[in-house]
Amino acid sequence: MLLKIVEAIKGIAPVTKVSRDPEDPELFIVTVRFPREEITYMKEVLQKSYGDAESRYGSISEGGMDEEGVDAWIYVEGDLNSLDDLVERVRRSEDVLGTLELKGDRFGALIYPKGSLSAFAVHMAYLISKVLPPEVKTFPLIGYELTKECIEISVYVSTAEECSPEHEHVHEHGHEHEHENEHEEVVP
Amino acid sequence: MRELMSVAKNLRDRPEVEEVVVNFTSARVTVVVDPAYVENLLRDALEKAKSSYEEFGPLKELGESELEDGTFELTLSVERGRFRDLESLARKRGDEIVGLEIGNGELKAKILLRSASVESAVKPLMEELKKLKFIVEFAGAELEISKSAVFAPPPVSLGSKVAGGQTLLSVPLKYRAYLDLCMELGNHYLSTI
Repeated sequence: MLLKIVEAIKGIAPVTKVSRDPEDPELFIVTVRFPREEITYMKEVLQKSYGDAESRYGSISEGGMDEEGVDAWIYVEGDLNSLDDLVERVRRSEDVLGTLELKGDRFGALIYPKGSLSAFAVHMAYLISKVLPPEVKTFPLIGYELTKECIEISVYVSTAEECSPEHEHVHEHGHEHEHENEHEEVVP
Repeated sequence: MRELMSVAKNLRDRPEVEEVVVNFTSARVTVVVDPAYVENLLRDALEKAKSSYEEFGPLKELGESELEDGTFELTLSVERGRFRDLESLARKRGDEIVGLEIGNGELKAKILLRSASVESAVKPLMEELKKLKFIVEFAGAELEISKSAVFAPPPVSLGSKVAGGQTLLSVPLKYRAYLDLCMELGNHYLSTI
């Protein structure tokens, strides 16, 4: 199964490694690597997308961009009645909804604008899920890392019938990585 | 997405739910339980438990302590002859006798009050969560509930307050239930990416 996973994903991007969760033999973390050149195009898209965010969502409560200008996030708050509208705008703009919080009559939504590294990584996680054998369940993005040479994106996959990642990681704008206990199994 | 909205709104409307957080990139729905609601239930349950056990005649000692997981223990002394009745009551209430000391014609029993625990306070919510089944559209994919709800209470102390000044972004670390999601295969959105 491990080999099948690696072979399937190789069609999308080079698999850097597959790690097995030490506590769950049916759970793996697959990491794929993309050349850094992908970012040049992303930067241009992101600059426009981030600049236009306010016009897309009315007003944004918070927002930020990383030092390199490749990743960005915006936080939109509003009345619950306007939530459906917000979700529709996210969908139309090809942004990615990262987190949605409902509290009382208010909502808060963390959004990764189109062109951001976070949005790219989420779409990549999705593409990975599409090429895996049907018996393999996939979980969305678990993290990405930007190095001088490449972008590494990690995704959980499970071969268990009832998938249960039991993951303890926390994503905050897609930057946290807590995989200290991984056991690396494959480095093609 | 509408299905998730509907589920999330229904959850948020429950009296014990303070906040619902859906994190798509870590594929997890977190239900934050209102600590005041839980604490009220705990106090009520504790008082009821005390009244039940007080019926065992003169209680020479009645103590209570809160354990790390929010469960209470009662320590009480009963006449030796009444131990079977006490054991029967504890079983009936779902509590557990976890310690016994034999004294002069009496027994000192330590009872773990499972009936006055956080787990029991959030049981109705957890039952409700376990029934949930929904699929949500996410960035062109579909995410589905992949496992039943997990309740993970960190160590708590009664009477403590949730820190003030929290924004919607920072979730209180008190009583939380989790539902995990995973990507569905075979959906029809690939062509749009």
